[in-house]
Amino acid sequence: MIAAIDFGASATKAALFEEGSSRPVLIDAAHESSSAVFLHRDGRLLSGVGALASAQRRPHRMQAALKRRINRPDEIEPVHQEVEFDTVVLRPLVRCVAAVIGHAWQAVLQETGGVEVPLLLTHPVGWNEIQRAALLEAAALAGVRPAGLLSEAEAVGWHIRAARQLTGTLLVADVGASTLDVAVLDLEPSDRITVRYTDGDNYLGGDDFDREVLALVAAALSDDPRDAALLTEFTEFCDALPHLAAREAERVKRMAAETGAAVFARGDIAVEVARDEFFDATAHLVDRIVGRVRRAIEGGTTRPEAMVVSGGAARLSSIHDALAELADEAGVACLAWDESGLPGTATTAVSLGAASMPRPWGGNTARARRPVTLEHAVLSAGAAQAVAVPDGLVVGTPMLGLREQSANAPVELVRRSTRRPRDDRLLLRPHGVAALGYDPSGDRLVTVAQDRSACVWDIGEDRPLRSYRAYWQSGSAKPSSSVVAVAARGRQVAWADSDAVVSIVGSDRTSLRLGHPPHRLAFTAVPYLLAVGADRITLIDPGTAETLDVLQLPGPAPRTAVALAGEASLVFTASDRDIQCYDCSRERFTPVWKRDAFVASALAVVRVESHPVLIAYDTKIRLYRALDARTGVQKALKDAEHAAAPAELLADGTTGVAYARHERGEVSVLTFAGALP
Amino acid sequence: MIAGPGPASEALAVLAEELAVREDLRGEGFLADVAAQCRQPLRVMVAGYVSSGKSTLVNALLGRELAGVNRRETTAEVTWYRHPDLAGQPPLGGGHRAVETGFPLADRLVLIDSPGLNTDSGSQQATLNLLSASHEEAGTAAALVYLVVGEPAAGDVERLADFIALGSGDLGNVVLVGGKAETVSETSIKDSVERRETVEESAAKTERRLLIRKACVRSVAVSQQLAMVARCGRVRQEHVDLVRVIVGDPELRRFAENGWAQLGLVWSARGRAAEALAPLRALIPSLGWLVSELPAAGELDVASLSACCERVSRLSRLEQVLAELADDADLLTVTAATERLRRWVDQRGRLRAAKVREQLDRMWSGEEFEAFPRRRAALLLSTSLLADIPVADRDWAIALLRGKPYEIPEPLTAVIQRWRRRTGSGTRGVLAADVAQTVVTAAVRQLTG
Repeated sequence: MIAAIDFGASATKAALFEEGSSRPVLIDAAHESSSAVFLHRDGRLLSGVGALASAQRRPHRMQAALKRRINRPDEIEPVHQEVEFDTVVLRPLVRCVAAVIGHAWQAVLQETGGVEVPLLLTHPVGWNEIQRAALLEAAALAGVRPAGLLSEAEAVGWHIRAARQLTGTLLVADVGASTLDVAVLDLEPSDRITVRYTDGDNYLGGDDFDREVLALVAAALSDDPRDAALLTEFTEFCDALPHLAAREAERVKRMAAETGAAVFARGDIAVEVARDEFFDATAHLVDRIVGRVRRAIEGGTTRPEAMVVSGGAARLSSIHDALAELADEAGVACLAWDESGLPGTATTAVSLGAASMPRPWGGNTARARRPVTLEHAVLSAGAAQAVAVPDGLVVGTPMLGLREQSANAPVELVRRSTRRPRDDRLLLRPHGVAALGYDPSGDRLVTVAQDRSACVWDIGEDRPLRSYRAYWQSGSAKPSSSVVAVAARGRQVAWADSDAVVSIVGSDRTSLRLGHPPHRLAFTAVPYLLAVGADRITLIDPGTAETLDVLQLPGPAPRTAVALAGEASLVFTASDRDIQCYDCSRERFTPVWKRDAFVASALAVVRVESHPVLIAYDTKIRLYRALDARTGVQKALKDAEHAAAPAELLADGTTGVAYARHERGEVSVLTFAGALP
Repeated sequence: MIAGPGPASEALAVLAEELAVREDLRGEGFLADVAAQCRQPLRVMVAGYVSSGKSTLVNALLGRELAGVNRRETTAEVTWYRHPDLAGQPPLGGGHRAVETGFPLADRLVLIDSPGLNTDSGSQQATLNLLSASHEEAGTAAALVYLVVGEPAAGDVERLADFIALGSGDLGNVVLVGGKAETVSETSIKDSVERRETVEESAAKTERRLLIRKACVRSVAVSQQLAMVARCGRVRQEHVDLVRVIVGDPELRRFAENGWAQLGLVWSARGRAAEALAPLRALIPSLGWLVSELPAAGELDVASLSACCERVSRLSRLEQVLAELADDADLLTVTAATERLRRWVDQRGRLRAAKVREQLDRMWSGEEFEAFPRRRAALLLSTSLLADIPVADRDWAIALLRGKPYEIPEPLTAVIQRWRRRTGSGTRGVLAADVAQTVVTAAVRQLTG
């Protein structure tokens, strides 16, 4: 048994196939379900009748044009797009599509008694890898792993081939709700179908016919001055509840075409639309459809021998007749659907094709241009201290007592590639580690022991490259204090004690006492030293150990998250109100950008194709955003609706990898491949 | 050196040159012109019926008399007017010639004057080739200025629809010009202002018919004749003296508004010689159109009369529209040239076509092309696609899509809410809905950024 889901621009359908016969799967007790989603107040995305019912009262929280968003060109690829509900309430596009697919999938599961059957998803023939990637990502979010992707035109081809044992070239004209897709297929004798030509109009479809119905109604009402009030009512109805207006128009369109006339009814409005009048008003649309198909017949590389018209809008007799006439004129055989004689013709052409297609499927790949992958809880750092390095995480259990300093506690590298925690080779055995740090400028690891001896290591070497003797006596640090943070750049090493003393060693040795103990340190490229405390970030000149500037944080952790991009001399703060960026390359913190609509509970900076990129985890929507660190413009996103929230984000700042550490020590890996512009 | 349309067009020029060296494609001439198109200013074609005043309009835009006029069917060849720096590159083969000349928009446009459409001579074929999707040359011009005089004729709408269908959808690259604005109902309407409106209306009427076909055009009414008077410096002191006499006498002025015939009667009644008016009559055959705009007698001189002709001709409005299109030369040129290349390569065999199409698709996903959906939406917004939307909302949206600052007196969220209501495709059609959605997306991105 296999299932197919046809995610349409206005309606989504599902079907099940077993031993050569197919049956439609009822979604909400209907043959098709609306492809619109409604954002509930509790944050859930509803699809199907639930969405439509809720949208009656709050139309602004509904989004209907999901497929069209994948269709249309945009500077942001679909997997990274967001959909707006009620102006600036945003949700990832893929999550919205997932709600629609998930709704249909639940109906399939109900039909199969909970048995997960292989699923085939279909898409417009013109979709490229990037567009298909959005469909795959949505399916994954819906908890479905589709067994295959198939273009709608090819599905039609498979069906025609099975129903009529047809080989040769076939033109498929798919007239959808908002798009027209034309494809010429080669049905090869050897169980294969090749797409020879594709063309289409992304701005022409059945919805345009609905619009003409509404225009006819408006024209009828404006002809008679006595109808002025009705005209106002009609205009307001169209503006306030466009989806209902469009649905009524669609009903009128179908009925008028089939029975000769239909009445558009809403409240006091009742306008009769006659078939001839409707056909006249939509003749230009039919002309355009015919023009595209003619171009495919005459101008394409392969002249088709047969033609078939599919898609919801193809049921309109004017479209069908005009295309049949064109086929006749061009000497192309026009095949009709209803002659197929196959069982289950109530299901869509696409679903029928899916049933006829031989298995195994494959060959239809999908890859986002700038893919972001989230591997949930694949590493473990336990309760140990961890620092991100280019290969993975370096973890070490901090030793706070002086006696432990000679203990044999290893510091280990948990490689991202092996994904096996804690069994990689021994990294180094320092004499006790109180704090770990990473120097991205030289790709070195730095450790400071409780006796304040510091070592700089080449990662993977078991002897320190450089070491600094115990030094704790000369500072003001008390024996009872412990090391809480460390940073290094080149020859300079800095650490912070729990009693708020920051010590810097290198060519000179300096120290200073801050008001609050910092819990994180980083050098900038200048180099300055940044010390992050509970409520402030201090900019320090490491040569003189003077405080240059202080940035007050909007609130204490965990309400405020901070990220430091040392090499770019940028500092980021995030609260439940906004995300802000400051430059610190000129002795002071200067605001660079601010994004009011974004909130984040964890931040980290990665580097993608030599550009610093800020990763921000949004607790409210549960997603990771990737912002251009220098401008704050969003470049990518990763939906993490079903993944645990990170307690902390770690990144080495030189690769496109960030590590999300969760409460129990598991670590998820977030990878940015491909360039972010 | 004249700058090309932009980085996207440059990318296509490079691709065309790469294809030109491939021996199996055999299309050096065609590919050289595609590359040239992508490195030259926006190519704008002027088309219309014989005697609709195409050449006069071209001459007015050029500011000199280069195109032949005043003979039936004067333009037998497609003539390209371009900046002198662009010399050397031959235009398309037979039926085309090039004239290098400087003109006000020379560094932004290449003007293509075409033979009239309703002719039996066969020269109209060259024009049709440039307009119709079935010909290889179509797409050579990326924008079209289409002249209509009075009521648009039967073929106009179809021909414009053909040109619009050349690309992958509407771009707003068609300017409908209501030409010979001064001749329209000269006798029936008294007030010259009213007369101009009528001409605009006639252009708008065609526009509305096209709009119903979902094709978006802009319309401008122009008096080519007055434009020529102003642009070619034809006003002399003798004309000024005559006009001064007319505006100085209230009765003469009033009759002048009704045209030369009535003015002639009063003029003779005053005992003046009828032939004295001849120079002015030759200069401005449609005086009535100008009268209400004329300055007072005291302020009249050669410059002010010339300026008045310029203003009333509305040529600068057309130039402004063309300059707006030239701002988007990169988008318009690369779209037209890509379609050209696609259709051409389809005739070169299945495998070659597939490969080149793939190259084109890959090129179009490059970052030079990323802003195009917004720019296209902005272009469509300045046509009458969404004519029912308040001007303030439209101007704001255009500025937003073009990345220009624009002050609004209300919160951004309120404007976005209004635009969101316009994104239903069932009530406005797919294209209008798509434009509205592009506006909403851009606004939300701005708000969150």
